[in-house]
Amino acid sequence: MAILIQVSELSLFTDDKEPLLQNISFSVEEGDITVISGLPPSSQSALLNTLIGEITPDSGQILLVGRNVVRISRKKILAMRKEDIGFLPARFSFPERTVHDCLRFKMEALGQPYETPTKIDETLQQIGLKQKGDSLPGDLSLLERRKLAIGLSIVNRPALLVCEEPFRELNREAGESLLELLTNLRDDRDITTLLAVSDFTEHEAVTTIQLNGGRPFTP
Amino acid sequence: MKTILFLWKEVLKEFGLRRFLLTLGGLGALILFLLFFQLLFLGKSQPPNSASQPLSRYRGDVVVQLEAELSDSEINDLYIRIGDWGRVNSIQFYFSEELTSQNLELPSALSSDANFFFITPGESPQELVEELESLGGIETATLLSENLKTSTPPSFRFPAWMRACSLAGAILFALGALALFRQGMKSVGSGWKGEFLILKYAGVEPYKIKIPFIGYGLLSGIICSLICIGLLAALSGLANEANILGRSFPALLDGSFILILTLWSALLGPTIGLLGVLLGLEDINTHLSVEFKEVE
Repeated sequence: MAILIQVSELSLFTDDKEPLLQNISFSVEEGDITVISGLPPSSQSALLNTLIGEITPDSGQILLVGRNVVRISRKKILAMRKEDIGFLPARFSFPERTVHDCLRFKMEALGQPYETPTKIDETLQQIGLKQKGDSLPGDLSLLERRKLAIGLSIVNRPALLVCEEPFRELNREAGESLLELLTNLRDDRDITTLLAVSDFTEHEAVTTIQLNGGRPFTP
Repeated sequence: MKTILFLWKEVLKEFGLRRFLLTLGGLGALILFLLFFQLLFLGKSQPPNSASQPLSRYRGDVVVQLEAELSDSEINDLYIRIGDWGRVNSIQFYFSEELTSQNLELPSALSSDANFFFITPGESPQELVEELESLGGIETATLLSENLKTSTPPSFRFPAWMRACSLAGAILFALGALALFRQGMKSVGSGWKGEFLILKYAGVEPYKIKIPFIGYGLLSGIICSLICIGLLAALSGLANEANILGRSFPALLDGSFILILTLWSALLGPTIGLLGVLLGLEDINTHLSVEFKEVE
């Protein structure tokens, strides 16, 4: 399998020179569901925002879908996000729109109105919200909202899905259901998934990378 | 371009339905600002004919009132005939309207509705008067015993308190328009938190997200300017027909002044609309920035 994400010696400091990330190195293979755990929430968030090019690290390299995110221009980073990366932050606010309209908003904002109906139908089917297209996000259960957030991240068919704390506040059964959705997305759409969680129990469907205080953790 | 057009449509939809009152308030305040601004200058201006040369007639000149039923060719013949006399230094013809517009105070014996010759005589002006009166087509000829004066035009300046009120109104409504447009933007900023999050992580360029909002400010300003310019044009048209309006706001009769005021209104409307929106973009910038430190 090819390497889709290669992070090498990544370091990031706050304005007060406090370390957020220190010499982080790991890789993610194409088609894998990889879970990163063990980082404090601020470092975890900083790592994912650095991966998607929202933050520039102080040192280190990130190769993402064959491109060095640290060195390429802002324009190219945004183009990568449009085509290759779906990102789900830890705290996601939904628009006051129906489930269907949320997906349509993203597709049309990306300038793909003609492909919108097909992609929205496929996505709703895949995330199991086909019958809830006219519902508002506020009327959905926590699991359904999490599925909608994932649907929003993948509706334009990116190659990589990056999620921050997707299982937060979900019970075991709901967590299993969400993981099953991610597995189906990998199988059906070849989406590589990187999850950052603070607490995760080993699971056969995923590859787990434990990081501790910004350094690789050896049990 | 597709993205900008789509977001532009969504932003207008958002304003039309949910921020109706703020939008209406902003537009109203901007219109009132422009009207007060125009009033401030309309009240200060001088009458359009004040800059032209005043008509003066002096003691010793002869004023000839022509008969009302004289045709143009008869007036012309009379003009040439008198002008050829050796006793006349100069002769000028005036329509009654010209004298009225100059507010020239004629001797009481003369009618202000008649047409006139104003003659500067050579020698023996009294004999000239007698000779003129004997001519056909002349109602009366009068030798001026004193200079004719142009009556003082009515005051065209607003009183100081009214100008101060216009200025205060213009400033107040300009600030009001800025505040309401800013509030409208902030309101959209908080209401569109979810949309901004989608757009940000979808990789939509921040300028594409902001352009529809900036466009909204410009469009609002242009609409307000057009309304006010339309009102100004209508008033100017009315002033040309209604004498009272023309006398109260003589600047409405001055084409070049109206043009200058129109240009200023066209400039100020979009500027205020744009400024108000730019002040409110701060919230949108916050939603588009990185929030990773808040997750702790």
